[in-house]
Amino acid sequence: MKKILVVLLSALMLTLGLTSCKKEVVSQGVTKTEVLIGNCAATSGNLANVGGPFIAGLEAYLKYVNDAGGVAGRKIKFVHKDDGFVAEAGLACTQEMINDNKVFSLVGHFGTPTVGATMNLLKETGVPAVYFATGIGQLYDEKATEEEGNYNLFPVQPIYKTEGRIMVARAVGDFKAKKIGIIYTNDDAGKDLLAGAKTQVAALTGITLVEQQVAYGSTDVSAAVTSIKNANVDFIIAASNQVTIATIIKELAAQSVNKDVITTYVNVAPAYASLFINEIQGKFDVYGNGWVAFDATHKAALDLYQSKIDAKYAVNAYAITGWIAAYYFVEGLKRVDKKTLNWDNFRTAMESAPITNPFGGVIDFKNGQRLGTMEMNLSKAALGALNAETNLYAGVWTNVKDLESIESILK
Amino acid sequence: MIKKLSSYKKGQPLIKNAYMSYALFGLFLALMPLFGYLGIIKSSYVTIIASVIYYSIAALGLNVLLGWTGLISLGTAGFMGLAAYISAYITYNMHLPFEIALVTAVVVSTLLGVLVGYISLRIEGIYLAIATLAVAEILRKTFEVFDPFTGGASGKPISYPTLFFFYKYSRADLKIFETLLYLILVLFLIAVMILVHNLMKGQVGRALNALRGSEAAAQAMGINLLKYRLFAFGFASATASLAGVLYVHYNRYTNPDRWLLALSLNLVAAIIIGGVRNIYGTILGVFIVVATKDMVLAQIPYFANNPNFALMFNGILIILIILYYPYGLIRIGADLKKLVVKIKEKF
Amino acid sequence: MDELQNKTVLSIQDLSISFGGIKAVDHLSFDVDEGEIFGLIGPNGAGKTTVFNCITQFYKPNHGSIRFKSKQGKTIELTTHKVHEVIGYGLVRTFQNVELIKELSILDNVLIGGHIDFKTSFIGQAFNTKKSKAEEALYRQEAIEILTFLGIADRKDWLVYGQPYGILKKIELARSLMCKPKLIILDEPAAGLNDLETLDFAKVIRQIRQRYNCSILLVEHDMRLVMDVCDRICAINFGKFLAVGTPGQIQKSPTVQAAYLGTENPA
Repeated sequence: MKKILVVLLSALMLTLGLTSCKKEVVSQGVTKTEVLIGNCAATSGNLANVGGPFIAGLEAYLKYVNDAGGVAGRKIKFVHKDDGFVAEAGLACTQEMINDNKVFSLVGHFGTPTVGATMNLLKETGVPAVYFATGIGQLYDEKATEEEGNYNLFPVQPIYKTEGRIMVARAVGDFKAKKIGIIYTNDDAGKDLLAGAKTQVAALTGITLVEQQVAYGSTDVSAAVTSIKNANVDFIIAASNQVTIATIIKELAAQSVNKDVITTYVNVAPAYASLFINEIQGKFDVYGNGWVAFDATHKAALDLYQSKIDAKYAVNAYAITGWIAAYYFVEGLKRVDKKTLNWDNFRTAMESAPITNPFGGVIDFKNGQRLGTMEMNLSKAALGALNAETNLYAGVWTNVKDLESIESILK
Repeated sequence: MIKKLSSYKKGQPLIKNAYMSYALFGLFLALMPLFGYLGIIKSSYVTIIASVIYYSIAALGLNVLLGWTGLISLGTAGFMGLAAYISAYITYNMHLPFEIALVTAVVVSTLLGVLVGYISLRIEGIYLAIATLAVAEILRKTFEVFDPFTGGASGKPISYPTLFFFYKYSRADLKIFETLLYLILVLFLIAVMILVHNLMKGQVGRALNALRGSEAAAQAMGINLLKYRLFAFGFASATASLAGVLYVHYNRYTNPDRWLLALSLNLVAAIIIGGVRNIYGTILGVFIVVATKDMVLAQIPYFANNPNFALMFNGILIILIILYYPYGLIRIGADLKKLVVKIKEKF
Repeated sequence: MDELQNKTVLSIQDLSISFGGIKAVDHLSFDVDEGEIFGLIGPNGAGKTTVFNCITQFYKPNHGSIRFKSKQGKTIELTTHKVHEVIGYGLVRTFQNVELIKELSILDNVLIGGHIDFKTSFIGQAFNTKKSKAEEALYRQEAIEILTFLGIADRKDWLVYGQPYGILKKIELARSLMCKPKLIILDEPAAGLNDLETLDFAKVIRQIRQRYNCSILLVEHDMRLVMDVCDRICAINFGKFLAVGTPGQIQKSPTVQAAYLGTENPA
């Protein structure tokens, strides 16, 4: 008799324990039929030609999803307001999104000033933010936790610090370099790439890094190049964005520092290859990272995109990134599925498994990893069309290696 | 205390005691966070109003320099940025209290302003404008390059500082700190308004006016040009510095791109369209330049969807005001008063 | 530096100044006495304005001395002082172009004349201390008294902008009286005035001399005012001294006549 009572009592307590679990509540911006998201992308001023297409790509993907019935019975509603790429306006706009519009998540948080000015706000409110249209170093977090760090932030676009690590991985893994020279500009792009490179070098053994700084936008980098030449490195990282890259590459060629070079994904466009392709002929090769691919494996994704977007944005890189931003958010939604849609569950869902970019590689947010794109491919600058009048070649980039993670490159 | 419109006389202000009007205005501004909390206005409007407040502080000092003394400076943004970065560094990197950072930043930046003022004695008009612009550009470049101190091009995010020497920031007190910082902003604005009012209506103000109106007469009447030029530049850079410090602590962030020539020009425009040599006019002008697009035009769907047109509209508005109200929009008050008198006469 | 004799308030000795090789003032000397109304005349381009500016330190002469018996009783060499220090000694000037501040009221313009009397610091004024308020009230009262004396107190709060020319000249006079001057230098005061206004102005000058017990130095082009009101006159031409004496003596002086009218037998 006593035994049965004990068993019954335990069973009762067990059931009570299970059912008296805290009743989960939905977060703001969620109704039975809708989930609200927003951003403050700049659609006026200098950055309008980035913000406008970005929003178009984002909205196109949302429409695609909503037309098919939404996610877990909810359609996704998107609001946006222009902040003109100004820090304090971005702060006000983001406050409006979070406090007044009460969005469930920010998607495509846009621009260095706005992101910089709202990092505190995002971390304090805990609102999820998926995809940042900037690569600033503050987004980089190797182990974000709920108490500190960027726990609720999910960057997708390459962060320079991560890319710096990938560059070293390429130098060591693909080019077997032991001594790497890095010429970096003194702006945030150059310095963050350097920081990432140093992090990766520290994680490896037997690799040395020779650093040379040049002024951002400088027209004379001869001193830095001479130092790199004298250091007799095996491979060179050109940590500079579009403004200074041509100057650096051309000086390397002029001083016949005939070692291969790798540079950041922002320079991988025909316009920039054309600036130095002629000078490097017969001397060395220039490589560049990439995070989106339009090759055969991704053709299906490209076709889908182009079928849903306004024709004028068919090959617009910014619109494609907007599409990708929405994709990542929807992935999280899909994983939450019928569970209560709140911030905790959303975060857990985003971390539960890696997410594959339809146009590119995999990102794994597990255990507080917030590194942005972790897989990049490799392209090489090559000769394009010959201009008969000037007898100079245009430059193009040809893909030489597919998307790989750091681990895979170093194997 | 508040005169009835019917007994209104020429030249009399509507609220008799100017100090009372400033206090009431301050009270009105101080209630904004409450209105935001109650949902009477959008909570984001508090941030926009805060930006009107700190830019007005800078603009008031600039009005003393440009409006009252007639000296042009295109370097306001540089002094704001310098003080912002100094204060950010002292509180965030050196962990010192807000008050120390405030005083240090304002003193350093003001000294630079006084130095510029000293050099200004040798140069006039357009050359002075270019010289002040050069100073601001040098400062901006420094912000970009000197990144152990400033964080470089990606900007410097900071946390809330220790207030009143003992109130340390912790995340639990977020709302309190937000509101406190806003109230500090309001307090400083009213203080600067009162300072400008007191200085400009007495001997100092007359001397500055004389400097602007006729240097020869000023000198003949015993006004030391150097002394008052230094004062004007010093005062303008002091208010700009104060504004910069308040900016960076309210927004908890600054980046070099904020401190461009465009900002200095916007502040000059604000003074002109609002009303030179007028305290409320300055604030009105700053509101028109800074807040119209995001607070007023954003309410209109057409402008909300076409922000580029909102920018254009704002620009056209500024041009129209300069054409038809060159003494500033604040004088609309005087015209309305004339209208009231006229209507009174008819009945 | 020699102390000025009892009756001399201003002593110009051997004053010379050149501009780019042209001698604008050439070894000029004359004295002005206490309580005297003294005229400095000469044709256009004679150098009157230059002398004027040398005395008031808007120019620094190349050569010569300008001694002044300050209102504090000390003899000072004006050329060693800065232009904005001059008024402190009791020497004040007006301007031919009537340099007033249009956007300020008449009263404020007059108060500018009392600038050097204010002792309150920037801080004191910024905080509107009792002392600052008291000073402001005191000098306001003085200014109103001066305006009353000149008959224009009723419009004291009106803006200078738009006032008739005759009133503007009186405002400037009022401004110059705030410092309780020892010597007032008037720069072509009759310019732009008609006959009636000039007569009135002569009366005002005499009243000022009597009320303030000061000297007045007129630099003038208009002979009627000069002959009417001056005790003594100095005539110059091409920056050089021609003659000095009473109006009657000057009128009869052959050198002066030759300069103004030409010689009887042209060469």
